[in-house]
Amino acid sequence: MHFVNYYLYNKLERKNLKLNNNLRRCRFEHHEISQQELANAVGVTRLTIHSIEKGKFNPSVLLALKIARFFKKPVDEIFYLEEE
Amino acid sequence: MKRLLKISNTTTLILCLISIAGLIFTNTFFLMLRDKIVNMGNVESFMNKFSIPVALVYCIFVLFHLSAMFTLILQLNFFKRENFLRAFLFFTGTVSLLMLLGDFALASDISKEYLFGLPGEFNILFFSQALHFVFYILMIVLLALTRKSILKKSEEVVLKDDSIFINAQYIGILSGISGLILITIFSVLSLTVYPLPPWAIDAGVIVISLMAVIPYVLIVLYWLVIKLNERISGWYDEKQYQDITRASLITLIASVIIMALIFIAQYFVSSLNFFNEIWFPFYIFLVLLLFSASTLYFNKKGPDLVSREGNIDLSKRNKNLGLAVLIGGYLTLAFWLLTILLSVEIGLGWGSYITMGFFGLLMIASGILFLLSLVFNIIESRENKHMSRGLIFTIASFPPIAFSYLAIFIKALTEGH
Repeated sequence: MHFVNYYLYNKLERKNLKLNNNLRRCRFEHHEISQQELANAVGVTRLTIHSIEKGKFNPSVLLALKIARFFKKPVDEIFYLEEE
Repeated sequence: MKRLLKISNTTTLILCLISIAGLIFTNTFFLMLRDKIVNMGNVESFMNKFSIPVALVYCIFVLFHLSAMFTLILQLNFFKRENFLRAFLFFTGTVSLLMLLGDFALASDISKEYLFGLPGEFNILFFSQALHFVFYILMIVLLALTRKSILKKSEEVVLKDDSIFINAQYIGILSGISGLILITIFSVLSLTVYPLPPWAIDAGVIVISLMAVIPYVLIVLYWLVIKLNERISGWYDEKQYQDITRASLITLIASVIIMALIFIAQYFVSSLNFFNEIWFPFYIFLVLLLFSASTLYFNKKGPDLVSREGNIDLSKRNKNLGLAVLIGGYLTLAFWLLTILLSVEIGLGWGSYITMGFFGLLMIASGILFLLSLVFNIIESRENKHMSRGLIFTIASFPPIAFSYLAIFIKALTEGH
């Protein structure tokens, strides 16, 4: 059983998974707010929001939850895993 | 804020135009003074005649510099976006302001030393004048470029400002590069072309280092003053933390490697002895440059690390590793042959020592890479049940690497007897 778990774990790890997001769409649906306004609301810099949108930075759980709360949406509606 | 910036911009522009006229006057004065010294004219009366107007012009220079620095800080606050020209002007403005004080010291030295011939201080004085000129011209360019945007732009609310953070990295890069270049040139020249006593070399290195590092210290102090209202945990946001952590690791590894290479090279190349005088400021500027450049890279153009997390293309990595070993192995062999050739044809000397140094470094690097590549490629080949391309490259690199190690081993054994 241990070997099966190990095999499945390795299989999952080797899948090309990436964290994607709908942040840009959410911003536009939410009165077309700017990156700076969102950054001010969740307490980070504009460049951090920009990097998240571009897929260059993974936000922490805390930041993801803050963003989700700001848009009044569940986290997985904004951030989701995608297979490459 | 907008009104203050408009007033400050206009004042700086007016002072800048007056300062350019003043700079023409002071340059003419210094050129005439130089001619008087060369032609053995009446230097004392000439200096007495012009000392008050020159001092007044220098007062205007100081006023302009202070006004320009104030405007630059206001612009940094107002625009909330990083701008390389602004950072460059902050750097050159600070150095130019410090050089104004230097001009006084140089002029005082010239007035004492002219009886013994044309003082060398004139070279530094004209370099300083050129620096002032560059600063004045670029300041006009910045003021002209931002004049319209100040009128158009509405004040933006930014709770966490990243422009100072990025501008500090720009200034760190400028400080690092200028520090490295200037202290290296100064120490080489002072040991070869213009021999100076050890105390003068030390004093020169300290002055140049301070000149180069003060702009960075000032921008960091300014950043600290802004951040003092916040809790320490909020000084950086989470991406900035990640960026500076990565940059620190890069700086640690790269600085150790570069310093080790210079240390090794000193054994083979005697002309690198000047490094003994400047190793500490050199290390400071190197670290400053590496840290600022890598922080800026990660902050602005960082690689798309998120999408690759946990799924690095292993076969590509292993293939590249194999290719690196192959190239490294044959380069090692080439340097071994070159060392032998130079030692036999020309004899022991500069050339053979340098090639020997490269041979040693390449041999160590390719040996380590060979072992890593072998392990990774064997694992990959076993999993895929066919020989990976990286393994083929690694096997092909075995003969030159084995030959190099064997040659060194035999030489070590035979030299013992």
